[in-house]
Amino acid sequence: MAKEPILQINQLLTQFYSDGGKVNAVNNVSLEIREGQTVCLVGESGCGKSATAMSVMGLIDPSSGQVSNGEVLFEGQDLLKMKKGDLRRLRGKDFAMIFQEPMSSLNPVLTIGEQITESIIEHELLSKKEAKQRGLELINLVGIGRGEEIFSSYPHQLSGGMLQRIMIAIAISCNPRLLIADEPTTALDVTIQAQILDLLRNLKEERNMSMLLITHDLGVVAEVADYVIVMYAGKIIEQGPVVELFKNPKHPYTKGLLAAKPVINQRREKLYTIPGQVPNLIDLQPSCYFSERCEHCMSICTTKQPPMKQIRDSHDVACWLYEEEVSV
Amino acid sequence: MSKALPLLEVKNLKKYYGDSSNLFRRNPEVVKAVDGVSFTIEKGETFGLVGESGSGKSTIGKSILRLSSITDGEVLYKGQNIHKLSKKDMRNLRPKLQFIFQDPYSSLNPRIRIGDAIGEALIDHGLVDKSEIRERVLEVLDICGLAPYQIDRYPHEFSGGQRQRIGIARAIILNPDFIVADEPVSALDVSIQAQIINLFSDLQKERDITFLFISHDLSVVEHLCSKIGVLYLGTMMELGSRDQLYGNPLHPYTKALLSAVPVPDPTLKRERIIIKGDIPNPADPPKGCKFHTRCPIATDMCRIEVPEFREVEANHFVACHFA
Amino acid sequence: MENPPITIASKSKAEKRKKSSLWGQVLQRFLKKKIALVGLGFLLFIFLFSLIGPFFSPYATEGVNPTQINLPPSSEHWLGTDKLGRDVLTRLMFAGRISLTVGVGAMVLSVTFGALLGILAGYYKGIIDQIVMRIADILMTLPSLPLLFIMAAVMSEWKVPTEQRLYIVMLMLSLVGWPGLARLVRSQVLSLRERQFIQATDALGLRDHRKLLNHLLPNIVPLLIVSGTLSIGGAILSESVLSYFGLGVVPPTASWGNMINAANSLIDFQKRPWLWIPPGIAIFLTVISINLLGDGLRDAIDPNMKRR
Repeated sequence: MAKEPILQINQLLTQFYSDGGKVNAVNNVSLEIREGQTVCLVGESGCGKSATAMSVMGLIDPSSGQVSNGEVLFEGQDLLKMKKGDLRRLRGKDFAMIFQEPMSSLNPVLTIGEQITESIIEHELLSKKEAKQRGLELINLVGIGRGEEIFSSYPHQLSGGMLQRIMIAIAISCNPRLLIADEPTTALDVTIQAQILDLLRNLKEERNMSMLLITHDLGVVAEVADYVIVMYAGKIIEQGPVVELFKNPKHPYTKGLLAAKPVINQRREKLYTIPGQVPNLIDLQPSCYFSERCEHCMSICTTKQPPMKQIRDSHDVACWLYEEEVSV
Repeated sequence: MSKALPLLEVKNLKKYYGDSSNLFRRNPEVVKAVDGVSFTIEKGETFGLVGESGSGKSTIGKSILRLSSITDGEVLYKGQNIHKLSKKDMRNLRPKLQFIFQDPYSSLNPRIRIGDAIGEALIDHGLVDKSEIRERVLEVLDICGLAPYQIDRYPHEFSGGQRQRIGIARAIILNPDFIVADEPVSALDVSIQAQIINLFSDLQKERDITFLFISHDLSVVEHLCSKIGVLYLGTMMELGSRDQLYGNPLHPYTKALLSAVPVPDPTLKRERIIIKGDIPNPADPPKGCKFHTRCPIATDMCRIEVPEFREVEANHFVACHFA
Repeated sequence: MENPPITIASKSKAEKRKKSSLWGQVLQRFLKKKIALVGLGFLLFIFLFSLIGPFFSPYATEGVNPTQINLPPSSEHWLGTDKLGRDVLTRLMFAGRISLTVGVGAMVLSVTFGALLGILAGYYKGIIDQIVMRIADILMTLPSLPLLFIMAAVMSEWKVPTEQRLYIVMLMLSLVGWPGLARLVRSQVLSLRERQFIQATDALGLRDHRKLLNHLLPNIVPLLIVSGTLSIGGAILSESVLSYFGLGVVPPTASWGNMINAANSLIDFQKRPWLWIPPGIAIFLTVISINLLGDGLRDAIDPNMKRR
């Protein structure tokens, strides 16, 4: 099935300013999301997964950084070249975003109802009354009863899980075709996380929505993703369909991540550890950025960046180990 | 089993917040953060306390070391009631009882070099001669996987994982018998988390330290702890050995928790128990069994009667009418 | 696998660039603040002018010379002379010594009181906090200028010797200055107490004096430096006001305030601007330099710990 990609990112380069110069937070990242597909961006803190999402949404604070290169094509239109007004019309309507901290993403002095209807009124040109009707339906849809009561309450009166549901309700209020979720369950308790993941899965299926989910938790990835992209130090190092990637990880970093995570009912005496820590993005030389921590590090790894290589159907890896195998 | 004293015994611990009427509020909201929790920790054991937010797990950790006061109950360390000790006796006991904090960023004083931060308690307690301090600090730095040249650096020069190592070094330099670790790995990335977990299990084996390990992450707890207690809204729901709890969970809440943890295996299709609803407000907990509002098998009895915390098999306790 | 020792990538470039001293970083950031450096420069100039200047002057501060009364600026007397024939430039230098001494002295006293009481109140809370903060509240409800006037009037009534008035003025200024500072320090201490590293000192069983001196104080020093610097300006202004009204430092001791007093007389005001314009400019430049410096210090010191 050759569905058109709903979002296509080409060679995205996002740089942040720091004392030591420009830092490539997102370093030549290309990816695509097809209709109805859930793509997960996985990686540890500082790998550029959130910066990628922020770049797509045009939310990079100009005083701290900029998108220096690349294209972000949403249904064929380049978001980076779009006028501010056009972008605003798309944002919230055709694609929407939910964040990690529901508490700080909502305005504490406005009621939940005002915040839900705000974007409906803005984008769909409905009357206040119709918007309220829609708002109540949405609250119901995300699995909170007592719609009227919630509608007139303030953020501090609700729990974290409820607020995240509200955030989701706001995000889907205009039937977006793409939902970007940045660590949507990280701040929540496990039982609540299970509820939210369930909700996101159902919404996606019912509405044939595409989703870009950003997370550090491989468990969450396994539960919701169709396609997985692993990032390290601003670059994509491996990507593939979820089952393939978990069963047959190629990059030493992906393997390490999977082995380092303690898994329930699979206790081992010792956890596998990836030695060292994420490199400082400022002083990266042309090399495989993972080489310092890699068990299989070869001399070429420290001098040249490995290109992306297809291993199997839509399973790509950037690692010299496989480069030799294929080319020589 | 011999009747040797357990290292630590917690009896009917209660901690209520907001329990004081004042001029302006005649009917203050009392939050029962910890509501009658009892357990014992034997020497050399790693006891895991699991629970979601509002379960009171951190409050218990702090109360055990008398870092916060308690409303009622007893905490016995080798038979002596910690909360009844004089200020001086408590201070002398401090080195034996240590605490490791959750947030590696705020648990180190930004204006103190890490070598001084690690060594200062030794000096303050007069445990080691000043000339030996540096040597001792270098020794624990090595144990915790930090390099000697880092001794004179400030906290902001370290990553989260390294800071957590510094926090651990600061605790173990005092040769403690017992350490409370409050979510020590939850702020860390997976690859760093594994390093710290392994450090904990090494310390456990090599230094014979008893741990109380507080966490919301059931997979980490399974990995490290031999005995585990499950808390919900300030009450112990289930308590048992690792094998009992993970192999044969009896309380519906424990089952739900275990089932809610995402497993990194996309091919695994399992029966998931997704419990409905939110964690109730701890200031207004449900009557009867506190879990009944979300329990899939709750009956009228659960709404009225508080289930007894009873031993269903050897050393396996559950507070549920149907277990 | 054994615990792999952490190696920081063989001390990379960034590591070498980084200064391992916190104050070194503050200095680096401060040196980037151009305006603050200008303020610092002015201030240094005024300090040197007041401290060293008099040694180059051929005139004595109280060198009364009845033959050269009220002369306009000339090559001999660059800023002219006053009604007793004293050289205005020389007096301006000596007055600078007095004003700066009062400013710095009052700052040191109020920072000492404020920090000490603020730390105690914030750390021990309870009854100590209540007592300290209620006293501070009461002092802050009283308008400070009238209060200073009353105290100064009492001082005049008791016939305090001229040379001692200087120190009493400092004390008075610090008395109205400390409550604000104590409040700032207290709230800082209260928020520090909630930080885990202060809770950690409890867990380690450290003694109180170590917690206060080694852990709380170093985290308050930046606040003290910034608000201390800024308060010098306020103290200099208050001293000038008092002296202008003849209630602070009184003649024959010169201070910028009592020099401006010349403007009180209509003739001096209209005909002899060299008597009151120079001290006015001196006060203006000093205070504005102090404020620029203080703002620069705040920017250099404040944002540090947040970003790694």
